[in-house]
Amino acid sequence: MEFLGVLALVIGLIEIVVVIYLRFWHQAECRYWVFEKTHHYLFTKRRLQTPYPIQIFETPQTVIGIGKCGSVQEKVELPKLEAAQW
Amino acid sequence: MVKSSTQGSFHFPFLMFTFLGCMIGFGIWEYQRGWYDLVKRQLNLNCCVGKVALKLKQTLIRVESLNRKIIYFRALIACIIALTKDPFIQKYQTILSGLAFAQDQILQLWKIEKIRWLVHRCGNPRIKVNPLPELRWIRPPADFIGPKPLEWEGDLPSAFWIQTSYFPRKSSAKVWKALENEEDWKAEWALP
Repeated sequence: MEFLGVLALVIGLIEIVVVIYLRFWHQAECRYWVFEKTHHYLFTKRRLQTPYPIQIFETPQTVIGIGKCGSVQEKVELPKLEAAQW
Repeated sequence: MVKSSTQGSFHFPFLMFTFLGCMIGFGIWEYQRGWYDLVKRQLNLNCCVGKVALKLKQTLIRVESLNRKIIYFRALIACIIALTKDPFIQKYQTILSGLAFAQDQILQLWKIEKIRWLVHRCGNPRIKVNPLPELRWIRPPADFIGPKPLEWEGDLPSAFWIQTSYFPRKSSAKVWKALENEEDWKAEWALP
């Protein structure tokens, strides 16, 4: 009885942790791919193939990448050279 | 006599779960950290290349702008010499010399920038930097009007490249003239 209770507790905890970790993982992946695709477009004007759907938008000053990976959404904005300020 | 116990069945699964959870968490954290370092490295390279590319663009624009002023002043002085004996002719020649001097100073500053680029290496000796472009402008000997405008030795390249790399990332920019005979130089991120 005690074992079943513990098992249920552990499975519940695993589920919570898996959900949290999946979110972190998607966030990590999303940040990486959105940055890579936006950066690649900034330098080459070509769209990199990525495992997640990432939209690229271009403004006169910047290139913006917006990606959705699972429940996570990431946005990266990189300045064009002549608009960059350091 | 062995005493059976039902206590402790919690400990092993819980330990396993904690251990696995920590390992996976650490793995994700490590992945994020590695990615963060790469992005930081890339942005540092971009910042370093970008600053110099804009400096090169400014140098090219200033030198060419001064060249046009020198051509204008030389034409003005030639007209004055041909038409009148203006006592202020020396004033114009002084301005002409001043323009040529300013041009020379801009080119000297670019030479210093080239050395600084190779020595500084974007603040990290492990960063591989390609030498900055040589500005092969030469000034023909002055004549009775004054200093002549700078002339490019050979053909002017269609683009100047600035490149750095720090494995596994690289960054580069090009400074170029959009169209032939256009006065303005442009700078943009590009891969050679």
